[in-house]
This record gives sequence, C-alpha cells and structure tokens, in this order.
Amino acid sequence: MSKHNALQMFGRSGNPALNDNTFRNEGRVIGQTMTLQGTVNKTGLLLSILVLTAMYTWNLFFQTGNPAAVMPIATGGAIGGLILALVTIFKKTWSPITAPIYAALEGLFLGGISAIFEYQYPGIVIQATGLTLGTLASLLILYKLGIIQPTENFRLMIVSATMGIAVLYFISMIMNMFGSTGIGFIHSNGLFGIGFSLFVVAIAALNLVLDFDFIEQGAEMGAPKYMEWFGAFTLMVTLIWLYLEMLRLLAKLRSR
Amino acid sequence: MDFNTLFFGIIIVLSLAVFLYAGKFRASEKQRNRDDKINWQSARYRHLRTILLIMVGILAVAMLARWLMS
Repeated sequence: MSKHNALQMFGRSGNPALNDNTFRNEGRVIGQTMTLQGTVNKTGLLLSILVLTAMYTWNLFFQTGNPAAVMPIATGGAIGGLILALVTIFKKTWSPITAPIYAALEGLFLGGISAIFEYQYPGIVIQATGLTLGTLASLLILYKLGIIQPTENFRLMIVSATMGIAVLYFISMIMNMFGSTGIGFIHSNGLFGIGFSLFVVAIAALNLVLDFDFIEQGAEMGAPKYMEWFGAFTLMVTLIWLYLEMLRLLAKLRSR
Repeated sequence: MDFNTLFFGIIIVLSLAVFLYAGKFRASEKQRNRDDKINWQSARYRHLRTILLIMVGILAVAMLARWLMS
C-alpha cells in the first residue's frame, strides 16, 4: 500500500463517531458520570499511548532506512485502527478498552508514515504536529468563549463536507487499487491540489468544534463514565485526521 | 537545535498546556445558554454509520480481489 493510500484510508474516518444517538439510552446515571476533566485526562492518556507506539515505527525506519521495514507494521496499524474505530463507534460501552488499543495501532501507523515524510522533507513532522496542536488549542479557546457556536446548520455543513471528502477519498482509493491513477488533483502539488488540501484541513479542524460540543454536552447531561473514553476517542479520530492532512499539505508546499 | 524545532516545539508545549488546562473548564454562558444548540440525542445522522460500514465492506472486498488477482 502506498503512503497516499494509507492516508486516504484514514481520511475516510472523518467524524462519523459523532453522528449520533450517542446519548440515547445512556440516560442520566447516579454516581460516576462523564466529566470534562476526565475526558481531558483520557485524551492525554490516548495521546501518550499514540506517541509511544509511534516512536517504535519511527525508530525502526531510521535504524533500517528502509520503508519496506515499517510499511507492513504501519499498514497493519492503519487497518487494525480502522477496525477498532468501527467497533468503538458501534459499541460505545467498549470504548474504555477499544480506545487505547485504537490509539496504539494508529501510533504504529503514524510513526511509520511520519518517518517516511520526515526522511523526504526534514522538519516537516514537528511543523505538522505544532500546527495540529495549535489548531486544537485555538479552537478550544474560541469554543469555550462562545466565539464559535456550533448549531444544527453548522453540524449539517460539516458532516456533509466530511462525507463528501470521505467519498472522494474512497473512490480514489478503489481506483488506485485497480491500476488507475485515481483522482489526480487530490495528490497534485499545483494550486488546485493545495487549495483542496486547505479545504480538507479546514473541515477537519471544524470537526474539532463538533467534538468539543459533544463532550461539553455529554458532561452537562451526566452521561455515563465510559463516555469519557468515547469523547476522548472522537477527539483522537479528528486529531489524527487533521495531522495527516497537515502533513499532506506541508508536503505539497515543500515539493513545489 | 534549529529555529524550526524550537519554534514549533514551543507551539506544541504551549498548545498541550492550553488544552489540558482550558479543557477542564465549562464553556462560557454565551456558549451554553443558547436555543440553537446541537441536539446530540437526535438520530438524524444515524445512517452515516451504515454508509461508513458499507464503504469499509466494499474496500475490504476490493483489497481481497486485488490480492487474489496478484
């Protein structure tokens, strides 16, 4: 699988975890309920797990200098992560177990992909990480202050755009598998390709606002404790997608 | 340490600190007391999960077909 294919595979995840009757049947529970602090702590924990496993494939690549040494592990991580993401979306009660495993598998994938990008464009990984986390912090502040107010129309717009991107990536990936060049502009480093990447980065970033609102309302409504893991998982899905899109955008800009 | 690493390293540390600190506080009144908030309990987008599952299924079949062809 090429690195583009692997990226596209992840891109599909978008933010379907947040289509939802999520709090339906969860009800208000007595005792242990979802809190903002708990969700933030769990997100931190998932990020740490991701970084630890990413370091493994990262080091493996730079020790061997051979992409073939890490690609099977990275591809396995991407496929395993996709399966775990689906399981988590359909069985939210399992998220205390599936979310950490998902983070570990995605770490293997991201570590390998990041190392390959870093080898081609030195310094790109720290730039993509900085921009991703910078976007996270900026949007969190804008959300908390009420400057960005997610409404049903906002949600409809973001979900529609995310699904559109997912379908485009999906078609391109299927075409690539059977020898076609796929949808060329997605990967091009021309103005159109960069414009497309900027659009995808913007949509991925705005998905973070939906995640914040989902977590905030979950805590306010007294959702069960395991929803902290699910909230952290949704944030991870979006962050990983945003990071990959940042990496692609920077690579396109550097390759010009 | 070059400028690129230093600059983006500082952004990473500051952003993580902001997230871990600001994330635990509730949103402002302006954000919470609105009539047009998203109703996360509605099943309006429920079908998206099914669409996602179908896409993954097609992808798995395509990967299998490609593997059998090679």
